[in-house]
Amino acid sequence: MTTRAVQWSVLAILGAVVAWALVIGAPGTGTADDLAERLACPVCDGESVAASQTDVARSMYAQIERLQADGLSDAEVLGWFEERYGPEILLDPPRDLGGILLWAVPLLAAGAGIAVVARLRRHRPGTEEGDTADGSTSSARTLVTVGVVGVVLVAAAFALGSFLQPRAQGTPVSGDLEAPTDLASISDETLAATIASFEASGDVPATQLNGMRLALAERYFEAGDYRSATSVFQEVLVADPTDTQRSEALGRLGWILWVNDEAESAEVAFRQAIEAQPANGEARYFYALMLMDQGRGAEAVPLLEALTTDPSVPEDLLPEIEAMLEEARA
Amino acid sequence: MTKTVTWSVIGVVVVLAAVFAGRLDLGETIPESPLIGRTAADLDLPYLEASGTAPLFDGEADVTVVSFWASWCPPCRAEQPELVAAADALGPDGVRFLAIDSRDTTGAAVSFLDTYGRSEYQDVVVDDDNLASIEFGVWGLPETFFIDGSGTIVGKVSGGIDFITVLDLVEQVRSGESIGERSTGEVYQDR
Repeated sequence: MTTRAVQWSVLAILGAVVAWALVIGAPGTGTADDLAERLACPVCDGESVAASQTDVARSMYAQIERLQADGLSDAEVLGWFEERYGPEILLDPPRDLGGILLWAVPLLAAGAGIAVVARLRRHRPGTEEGDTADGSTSSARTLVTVGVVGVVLVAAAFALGSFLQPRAQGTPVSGDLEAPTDLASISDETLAATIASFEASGDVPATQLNGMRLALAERYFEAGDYRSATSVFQEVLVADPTDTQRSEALGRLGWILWVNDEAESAEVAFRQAIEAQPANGEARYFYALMLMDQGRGAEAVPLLEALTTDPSVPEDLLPEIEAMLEEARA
Repeated sequence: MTKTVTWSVIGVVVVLAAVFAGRLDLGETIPESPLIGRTAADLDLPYLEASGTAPLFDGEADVTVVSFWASWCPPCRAEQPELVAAADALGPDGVRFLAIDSRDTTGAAVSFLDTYGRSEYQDVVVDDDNLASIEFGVWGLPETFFIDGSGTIVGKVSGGIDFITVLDLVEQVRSGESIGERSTGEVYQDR
């Protein structure tokens, strides 16, 4: 086989590959099954939507049918999914230059192998060219070059293989593979330090900073650390809070004052909290609890009545509120 | 002719190497979501623990933080307390938090919230028919999307998100900066 014949053979193979890659993505017959065959199931182990039994795949199949019923063409249906998932959702080989070359790599490697064999046969000892000293040197250089190229192509083929590996089920599909940092909870110290750094930067709006302060104060409050909670709630009150933020801080401060036997101050705080934000059911609830404890049930009745129709009140609290209301009316 | 063939083969190899370099450059982030810059879908999703439905985008919030999660997803367990803290901090300030429970059971999801927390500023809804997951092109859990005040998806985070990151990204959305897509860690496809 001559060098020219080898070149034409390789070119013919490449041409066939390009033609094949260009036509393989041609539209199917247009049934939902056909389209489902051409879409990857995003939560599966390398399966198509058609092959997968997962509920996500079934939902995607139903969506295909809905889109077809809406009159979308095959290309538009595939495009609809591609617009949401990206090109990775399409199982058809990509028809851009890169995709064509990716599919051509194994055949290119085969072509290179044919070239090597042809050259070895052409330059083997005993042939006319191989008998000459210059011919031997040239043959050896060519052999080394082709060998290096072959190794590179094999490495590229391996890389292609790993690229096309299906995602493992139940394992990460993206992101770094480091173990995730345990973010179960930001510590109070970290949160306080973050707030302090934001205060120092001056770049964070007051309402946002107050939101962070309230989140921190709530942690202290729920942990029973009323001293720390009081300090942070007071910071909120002097830092230009919104009505809602002011109401939340006053309501919680009222409770802290109440449990610390500062009933008069607590009552003022509850009243101001409700005035600032009438929708603050928590402040109304705390205030009602205090009034009931003080034997002022009649005063608690309107507060409790409002709570029974307050959508922000958790359902599991309603029986308790209704019982309190019954007791207050009595 | 030998030199011509050799240089031709080397040229092909260089082109292939360039193609592979582009294809294999997965890096620490997955390719940018095609949804960035697009309008969020118009969907209503049923609440997990109450009757009624919540709109995916209500048209009122400055920023909407949409998180996809499930009780069986390990990073979601670390993420929920962070989202609760962020919702408590930013919810009163015009940021809406919508947590979409995906491919889960009601009992497991409620138990998850009992363990990892709730916020009055976080609407927890269910993606019963996976329509939200499909509309958002969700590949794994957790994934979090940021929607601006006009209803445009402006950012996506794959992997667990933490309190500080939420604050930072919300601030970027409010200032009109582009978030794009980023990865913070692992996402899971299935139980």
